[in-house]
Amino acid sequence: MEVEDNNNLVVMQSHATTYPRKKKRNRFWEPLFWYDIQNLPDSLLIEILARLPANSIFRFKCVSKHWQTLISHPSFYQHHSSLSSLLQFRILYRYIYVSDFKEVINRFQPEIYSSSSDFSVLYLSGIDKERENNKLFKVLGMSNGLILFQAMNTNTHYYICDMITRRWVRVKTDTHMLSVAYKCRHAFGEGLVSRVNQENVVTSYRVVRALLYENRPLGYLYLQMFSSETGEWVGYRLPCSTPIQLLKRGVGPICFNGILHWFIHDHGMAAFDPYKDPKSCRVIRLPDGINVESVFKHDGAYRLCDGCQGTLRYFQVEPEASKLYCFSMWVMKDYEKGEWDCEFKVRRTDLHSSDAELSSWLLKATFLPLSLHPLDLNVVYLRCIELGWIVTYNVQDRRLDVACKQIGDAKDLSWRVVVPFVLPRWPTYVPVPGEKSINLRPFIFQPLAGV
Amino acid sequence: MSTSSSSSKKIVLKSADNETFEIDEIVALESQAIKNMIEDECADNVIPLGNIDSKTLSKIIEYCKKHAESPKKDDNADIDEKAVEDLKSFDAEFAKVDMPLIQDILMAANFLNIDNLIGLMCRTIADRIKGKTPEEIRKILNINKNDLLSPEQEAKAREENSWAFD
Repeated sequence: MEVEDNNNLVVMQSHATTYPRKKKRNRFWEPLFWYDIQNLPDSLLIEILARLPANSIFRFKCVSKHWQTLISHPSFYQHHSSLSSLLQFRILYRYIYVSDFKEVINRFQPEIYSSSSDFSVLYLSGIDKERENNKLFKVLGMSNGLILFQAMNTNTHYYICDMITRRWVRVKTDTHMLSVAYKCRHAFGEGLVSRVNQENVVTSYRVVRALLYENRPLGYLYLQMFSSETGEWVGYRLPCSTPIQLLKRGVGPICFNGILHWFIHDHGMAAFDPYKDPKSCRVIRLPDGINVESVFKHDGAYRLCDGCQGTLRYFQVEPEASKLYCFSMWVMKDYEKGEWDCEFKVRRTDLHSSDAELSSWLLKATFLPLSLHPLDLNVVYLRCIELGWIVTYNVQDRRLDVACKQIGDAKDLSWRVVVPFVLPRWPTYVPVPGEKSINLRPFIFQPLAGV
Repeated sequence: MSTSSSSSKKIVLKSADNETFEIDEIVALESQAIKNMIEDECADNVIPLGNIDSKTLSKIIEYCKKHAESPKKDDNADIDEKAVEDLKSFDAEFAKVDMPLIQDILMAANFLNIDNLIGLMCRTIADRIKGKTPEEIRKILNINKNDLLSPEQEAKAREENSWAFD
């Protein structure tokens, strides 16, 4: 059997048909085989299966033993995920006005986002239309394919779900934790962190929320954490190296390398690793040279901080056209030391665009940062306020492109109300709280014995 | 190879049913297999393709012509968006044929090693079967009856993947 050299296609060597090219090259034109149209070689069958959505793939495990073996092989999952051009990125609006959580799940029907490969802001409900008679659910965070929601009306229930299998669990806050929480101003800033095993299957998760006590700096970070292993909430009071005060505004923590970071007053972040023992809080300074005034004046609306491809990045926009630099980016070079480097500062006059209308606005428009592109270090999503468009800024060539001209229902789109959302393509197991023995078999890829 | 009299070299492909197709070499080079053959100088001017019938071959030539004419992505980073759109809609139209022909094209594209066409045909088949049930797939693709799961195995697979049947 010969492995073809020009070969990003054949992931598994087929047992049935290969096409000897080199060995018998001078006999190329002879009819080497006559194929039966029902009898595709495995290499092609895999190419077809790898282009199916996950629910079809898992359903087709029942088609035949042969199909089950192909789909269950670890290399199939690798090949499926390597077709990365199929990975799609959206900006998801956090708020969903529906009557109950089942309806949230229903709104994640693949059709709503896979119908078009064009970028758009993803709304799961109308904002004005559905607001009146419905409850409100909010997307708080994501981790390894799991999504954390909160039922806003009760403030006591969280939901963790996987959008591919549409399986979910509800996490309650017990009454004791609630009474603790009620003594403080409120609990907020929820984040989700999960762990995966070697087969990339989620084995556990932790939901963490911060407590906001008083309007002055305190020497402690107050947290509550729910662990799927124990099925319980635990409260923590973690001493900080300097007094900290959490920012009331601003959504959940920034999750970077499994560590949660909450913005604090005085231009830093409080970092907490839910899986590290003993529990501790670390205060990380934001980069020197950021526009502190603007952060204060605009409540942080013109800054963006997120992890992207293994680095923590801080992006800043100068809202005023008169300022010398309009976009700046800092990258955390050494996380342990907390050292930032300035990656670039760009003047307005250096910007360009191939879109004529956008070009005419470059010197005067106000841009509001929405999201870093989670798959592409060079791309930042912004909202151009005057035009009402979403545009991308390309870091490499300082180019702005139109991503979409429709913002949708939410006219005040900012990074606070959206979540970067890479459309999931493979199911994620949702561990059930407190359940020790979990059946991970369908999610682990092993050739099935005896098949 | 150097004996060509015209400015653009021609290649002749001969189908299984002995129909001949004269095409520009540049079109034939869309096929990695033919390209290798030409580079290794082991191709005569007529290349017999004993396993591809004329109907399939003419479709494949239609595809290669269009793609050979279009600007390549790696040639120029600033590729014309209109050309990309044009090629996209060509591909979409091209794929509007019945399943047997799609499978024939796929097999032939695999034989001739035309990457983009293999991808297009696989995507087309995937789009057509994605909503089907296992029973329908067995019927459409004529799956070997001896290869079916036992009732117990099937029940287990259905239970484990029940979400995929919702």
